[in-house]
Amino acid sequence: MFINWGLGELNLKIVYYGPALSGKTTNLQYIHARTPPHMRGRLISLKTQQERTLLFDFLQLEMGKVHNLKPKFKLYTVPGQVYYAASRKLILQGTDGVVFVVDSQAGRLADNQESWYTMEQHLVELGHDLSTFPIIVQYNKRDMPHVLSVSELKRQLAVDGRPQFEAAAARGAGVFDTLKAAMNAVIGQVKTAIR
Amino acid sequence: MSFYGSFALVTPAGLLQLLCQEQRSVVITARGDKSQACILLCEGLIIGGSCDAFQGPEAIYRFVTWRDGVFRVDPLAEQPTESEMAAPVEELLLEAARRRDEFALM
Repeated sequence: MFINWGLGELNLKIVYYGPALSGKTTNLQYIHARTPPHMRGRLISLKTQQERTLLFDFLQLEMGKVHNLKPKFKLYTVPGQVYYAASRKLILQGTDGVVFVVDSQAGRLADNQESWYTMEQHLVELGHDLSTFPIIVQYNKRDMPHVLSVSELKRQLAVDGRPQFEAAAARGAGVFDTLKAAMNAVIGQVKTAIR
Repeated sequence: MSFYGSFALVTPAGLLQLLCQEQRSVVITARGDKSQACILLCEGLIIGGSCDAFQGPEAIYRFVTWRDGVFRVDPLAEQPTESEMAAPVEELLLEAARRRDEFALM
């Protein structure tokens, strides 16, 4: 969270985390494409192996002000490949909430588990309390063949108690539901912190 | 009106992010062990930089790897008529991190 007194803005950061090719970039591209230009900043794209790392600003007018400050979200993806550890840690610095994008395909379970573990590790290293930190879980690629059931994914990833959404981000299904839940969770956490 | 500091207390990346988030127009001059850098910020964007023999984005990628040194921040007296770049700090920092990760693989 960063308070810009001059502009009266509350800058908040949400990071889309998950294994390589789980659909993080697809989520952000969909959100950016369907957000009116006056409410979003330029989409910044960095070419990393296999996929792109994206970020952009997103002004959320519907949520109203928080302590008279306009919430402005910065949405990021992380590069999912294992060896981009320094990049992921840099992106997670100062984050206010995470959307963990699960690849529901049966063959990706171990990748999801490893990515979840590294996310928790980074968040703890950055001083966050995992019991209160906003983490939203998105089960993506539900439209693909050979996916694990949501109950099996929940059991394997031990994500009980977190807000969870099913999605097929390539078609846009579940993308905004996930984003709204993440923004609400982050705003809720900020209000708790500055009460 | 200047302020001074040491990279023992704030990293080069942290300093850049702070000044850019505040949308400041300033000049950072920094001195490290056998290295010198000068970075220009205008309304929160990085519009120019040099780090030893390197200019532009390459200078920023070098600057953010510094582990020690001292810096001074002064108001940007005049915006250059032609800037060598106008890049958000996040873009440059992420590219620097990407290079570091990919370099470690080699």
